[in-house]
Amino acid sequence: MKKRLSCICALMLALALLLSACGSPSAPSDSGGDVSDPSGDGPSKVINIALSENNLDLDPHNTTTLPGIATMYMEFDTLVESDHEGNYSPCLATEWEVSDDGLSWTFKLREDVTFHTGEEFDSADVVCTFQRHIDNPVLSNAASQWPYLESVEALDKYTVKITNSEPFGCTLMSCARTWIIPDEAFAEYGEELFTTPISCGTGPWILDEWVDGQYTHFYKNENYWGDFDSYYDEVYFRHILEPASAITAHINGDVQAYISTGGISNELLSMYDNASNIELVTVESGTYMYIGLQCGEDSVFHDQDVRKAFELAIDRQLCVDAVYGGMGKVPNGIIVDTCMGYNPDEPPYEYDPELAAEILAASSYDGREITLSTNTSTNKGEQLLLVISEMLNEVGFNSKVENVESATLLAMRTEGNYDAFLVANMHPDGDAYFTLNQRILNDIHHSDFVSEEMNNLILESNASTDNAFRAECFSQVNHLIREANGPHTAICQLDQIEAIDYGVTGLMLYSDGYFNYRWVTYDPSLVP
Amino acid sequence: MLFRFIMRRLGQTVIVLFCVSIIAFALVRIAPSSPARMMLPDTATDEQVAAMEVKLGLDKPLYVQYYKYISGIFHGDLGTSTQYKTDVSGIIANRLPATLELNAVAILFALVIGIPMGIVAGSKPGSVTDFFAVLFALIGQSMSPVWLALLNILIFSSWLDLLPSYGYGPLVCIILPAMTHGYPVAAQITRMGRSGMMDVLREDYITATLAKGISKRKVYTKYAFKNALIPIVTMVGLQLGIFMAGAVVVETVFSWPGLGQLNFQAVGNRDYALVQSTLLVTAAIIAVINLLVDIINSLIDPRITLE
Repeated sequence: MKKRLSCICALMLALALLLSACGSPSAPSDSGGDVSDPSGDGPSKVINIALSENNLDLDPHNTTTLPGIATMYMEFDTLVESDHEGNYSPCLATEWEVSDDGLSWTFKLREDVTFHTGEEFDSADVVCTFQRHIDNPVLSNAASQWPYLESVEALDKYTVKITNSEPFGCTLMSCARTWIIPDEAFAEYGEELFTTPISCGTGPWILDEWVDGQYTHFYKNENYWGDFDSYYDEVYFRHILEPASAITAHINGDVQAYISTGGISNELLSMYDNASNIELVTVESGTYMYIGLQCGEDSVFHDQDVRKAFELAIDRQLCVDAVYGGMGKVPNGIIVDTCMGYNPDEPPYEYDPELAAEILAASSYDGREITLSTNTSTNKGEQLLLVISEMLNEVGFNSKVENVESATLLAMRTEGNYDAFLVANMHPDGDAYFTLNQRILNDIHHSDFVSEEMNNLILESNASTDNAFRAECFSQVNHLIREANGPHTAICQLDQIEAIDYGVTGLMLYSDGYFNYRWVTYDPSLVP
Repeated sequence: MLFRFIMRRLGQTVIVLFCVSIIAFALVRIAPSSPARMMLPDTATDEQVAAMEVKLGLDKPLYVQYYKYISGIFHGDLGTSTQYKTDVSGIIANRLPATLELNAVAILFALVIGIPMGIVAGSKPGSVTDFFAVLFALIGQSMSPVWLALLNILIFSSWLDLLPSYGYGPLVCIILPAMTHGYPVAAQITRMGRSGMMDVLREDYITATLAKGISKRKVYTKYAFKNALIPIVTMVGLQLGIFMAGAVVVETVFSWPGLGQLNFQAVGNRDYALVQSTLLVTAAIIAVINLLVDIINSLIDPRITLE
């Protein structure tokens, strides 16, 4: 018996140790954890950046997660580069022009670029990239960025023409989000090009390895066509889902930056109190929280007076202070100050609970229960709605809060099965095209709110490539939404705080919520 | 006899797995939203979603989808993940070792801590050792795993800087997740061991053995301990099922790349093939563990027959 017991115990111990020993060498300390460069001139040449989400795939035209997009920025280039505030500069294209009818865009390409695969970059690669979008309209990039893409053709080895079926003012924005792939490698591997660890971009970093749930590893592209030369030889994205783990790892020196989607929660910032080597960077983000109202005939919000009372009942500044620790501000509409068409003269939202109660009492509201819905992914969504619900109930509404998982809320929204929902939104590249087209004109969330005037303005902005005119249209739509008290009402615009070691620079945190780490480097002069 | 027992249990396991496959298939489809909706940007139109559903075969009747899934399993094809766009079998094969490793080390931790503590406490009820053992068990069973995980990170990583707060690979990385994961089971083993030992020590044969003049130490270790061990082994076997499921929390907090974290993510993204297959694989592992527990029980106590 003793022997049997000993055997069982020994077997369990051996199994546990064997399994532990079989683990791949990916612990934080195996790379970049050491603080000094072997030459002794500075910190390690390997930088670890902690990200709060997992990477899910490596297809540059099908990735939707922020770590996925950050990976693409490292590995690939686009025709034009965006500053995420509505301005575009040359990248793989040196110059471009749009036809008089606004349908065709002609791009002149760089002639000195080579893919990581060794293939030379030319117009065939651009054609291959865009043809993939045309052939496969359910690619997420095709679905989100190229609603009117009709054809692409090579005019010569270094000139391409992209044609839309309708004038599309966001063509440059979409170009800045369409990573160029090599045609020969794509012809050889097909879709497998993006499921095998083959680095196939032209970007400043070569993808070495992606280990699901753990890390994404890059090393420097010594043959990069641009004049960028990073201090670092290698970059690791560490996918650490739990904020407390990530912050602890950062403070302990296992990672050199922690970038959390939506920013680090204000309750956790005190963990950095004694970390003198880490800078808390505040980004005045364009991310705003808004409540979408169901305005269909059977809904209480069909009556504009109810919508008006709803707006007047919410003390937005209190929401910012109480829920987000004051790290944000109150916008004056859904076209926020980082977006083209922002109007500083648009009056602020009023808070007047007495007037709200008066208007509500005189409205068609029959006291029925209103459910305020949000999802678990929305930054403090439930807390925010609880505060708002209290304010609404004070003036006579009968509201309750429900917090569901993201997929469930998405289903509710796409079916129009809600009273009011709270989500965060941002305008990519500071352009409200997608928000206004999808959420107002096409009403993909089935708010059943219809305004011919708004729709016409959106259609007019779509047909123009003149950004000044488009900005004016956006501004007017925002004003009409404010006048109609719906279907969207903005609540707050949040600051985003991220933590980065002093000296680490080039981590681009844009106001539209996107991240780009391709220019990461180290500058000792930035260390206090 | 052993062979017949194993074959019979394997037959039962196939039936269980078949039922699990139907339940998993149905559950993910009952949940609101669809993989097509989740794969596309939230601004996608209904037409784009419908086109994606056709591409994924989700427009087909449910029985056709189920037949395709189940026939794929018999050909070694668990389907294609909609979020990873690769074979599910490859994804699970990458993640499974981490989960097995975590569970093995956690259960080892629970046994090494729980058994001696329970046995010693049961041998000396009312003593200081017993008090601390009961306290240890009470805390372990009442504390939320999430809270325990964060507390461990705070103490061992943040304050003491002894152990990494995340990561997978070298042995040092597994200590915190395994401790967190194993503590509730260690607490349960302690309680079970304590009460088992106390019961056994009240038996007549123990009194008779002591009366014969055999030393207390020998009675406790040779006669009482063995009998107190049987319910612990059974309980550990049953706990392993819960263990596999409970790994979601620990894997997420410590960024441990196992099946629990994968499944949690897959449910959120409505990745039907991945959810179905991870549930099926987990069920298969639990079935095998239960089989092993039965065999181990019969090895420990010859009175328990496999029949």
